[in-house]
Amino acid sequence: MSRRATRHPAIFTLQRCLRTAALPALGAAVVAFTLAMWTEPMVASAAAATGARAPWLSLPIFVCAFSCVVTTVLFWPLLAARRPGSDWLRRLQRGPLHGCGAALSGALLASLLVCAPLCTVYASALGAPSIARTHTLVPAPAEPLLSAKRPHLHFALAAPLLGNELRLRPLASLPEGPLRASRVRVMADGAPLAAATAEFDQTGQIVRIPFASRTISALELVLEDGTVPLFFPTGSVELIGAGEQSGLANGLFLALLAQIPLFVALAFACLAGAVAALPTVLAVAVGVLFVMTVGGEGPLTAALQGRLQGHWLLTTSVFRQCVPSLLLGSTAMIGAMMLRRRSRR
Amino acid sequence: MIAGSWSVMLAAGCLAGAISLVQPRLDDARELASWAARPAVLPFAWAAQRAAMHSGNSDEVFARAQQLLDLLPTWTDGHAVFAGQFALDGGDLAQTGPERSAAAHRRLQIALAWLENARRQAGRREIELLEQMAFLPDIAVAREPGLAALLPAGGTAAMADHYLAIAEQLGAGPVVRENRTFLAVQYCRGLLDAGDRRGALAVLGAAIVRSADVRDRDLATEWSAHLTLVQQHLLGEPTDLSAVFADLRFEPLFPYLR
Repeated sequence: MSRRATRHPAIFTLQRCLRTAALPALGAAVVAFTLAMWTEPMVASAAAATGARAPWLSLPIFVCAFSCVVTTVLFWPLLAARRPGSDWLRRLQRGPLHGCGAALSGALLASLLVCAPLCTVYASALGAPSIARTHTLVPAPAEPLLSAKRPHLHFALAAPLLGNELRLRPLASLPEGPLRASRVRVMADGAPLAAATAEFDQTGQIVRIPFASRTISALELVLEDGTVPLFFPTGSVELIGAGEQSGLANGLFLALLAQIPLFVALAFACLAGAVAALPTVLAVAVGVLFVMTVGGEGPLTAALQGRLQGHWLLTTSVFRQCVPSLLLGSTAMIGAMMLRRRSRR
Repeated sequence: MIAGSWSVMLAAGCLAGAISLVQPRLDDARELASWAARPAVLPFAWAAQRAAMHSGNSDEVFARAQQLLDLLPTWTDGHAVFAGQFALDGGDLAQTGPERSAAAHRRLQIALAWLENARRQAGRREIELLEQMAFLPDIAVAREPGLAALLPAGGTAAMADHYLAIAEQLGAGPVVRENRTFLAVQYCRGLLDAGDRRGALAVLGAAIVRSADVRDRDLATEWSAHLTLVQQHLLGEPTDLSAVFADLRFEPLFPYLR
């Protein structure tokens, strides 16, 4: 690497963030793992409840992101107004963000390097499966109500899918007569998917229907008996793919997704820093980070749970969940550029 | 500088004195940690619990409930409802016959073991928790009849007796056996709040049977009749509930009866 490249703000920030975030994240992982083992829940199958360990995976990721946010905001003087040395730097860094973008990239890269082992090795230690499967949410028809008056529901898949398990989780309405659980037969491309029927009489019931691997392009639910009307909105019918994906690749993709809260937090720091002093910028950045990690806003919470449950994350639905956060962060960056340009005049 | 050092030494001495006087136990430290973490974590723990109910399986929902109730160790109603939901879970469609009964038995054992563990922190509500534990085997067998064969000698009655005997020893007196049927309303409300209509119906069924324990026969007949009306309503049968609405002991269920 050339001397000029090593003196780039991104490299400086990367080094600084790695130095400050690696050890606290490792310590948090050790503490979280100990707590996870100490507070092991009493359940019938620990493997089925790995999704409940998501808080123990999110803790070290939060610590890492927190360390990177604080380090970056303290390190790069132009991320807050009226910091010592900022006038000199403003003359040296001529870009629209005065090097804040480079500092942000360095922090993201450092966090990615720390999160990669957390999302792969540490997640496996917490019980994340070594393989992942695609979970496709089957889009609901226009009127997703299955009742005695409308005993057939058709679901068309966007593209034929090779699957080996179907999960149904409808919402139940009040019975239309004396309570009798509704029995539903599932048909795939015109043929019954399983010999048994699925029975539902209240919301929250989940029925898993395993079957031999086959390609499915359309599903039909037929109400055979019962008085409980069932709603099947999008998300209540889930097709599990037969193909096995790498758990390691899934972990690395999670590490990438874990950068989204950090990106949004630093983007907001960049925006606030154009006009506000250091304490305000720190409060804004940490607040945004808290809401997007511990608070569960954004795609990270679902992704952590998906990783621990063995859901393949590289799907369009996960990408769709990321779009609002990415747009929010990008808008904050554009706002920061405009504010800084105005203040330069 | 010297004054600062003295202050630190004095503070450390006071702290050591306080610790030696109070002699804190591990449970105290745990309670303190849970008290400190509660405001920051509880809203998100609830959100995670709700998310698990929408997208997780029964094991995950119960694991999340345990995380939540670790922060609220004295909330015995919550313990009873979540344990009941887990024990009464419909199980796997693929399982049939003995395999299904064995799974139900395992869930019941786990739920009772967890409630047993919760007793230590239940404080003055321990007796109520024991009454609810005495209820659970009855309801579980009503839900999964094959379970009866897997229970220890004496079946649900012996299990209930065990918990009620402990409650009596704790000072509840013989009235604890009669009380069981009256607890059903609160328990039923909790299950309906959690969206578990089937569990609530099982509780009502067991409470109707248990109303036979009440020595005042007039009271028992009236109580049992009201429980039957509520049960019929939840089953979707046309029912005149005016007698139930006139009975304020059923007030917790009113939102589900209108």
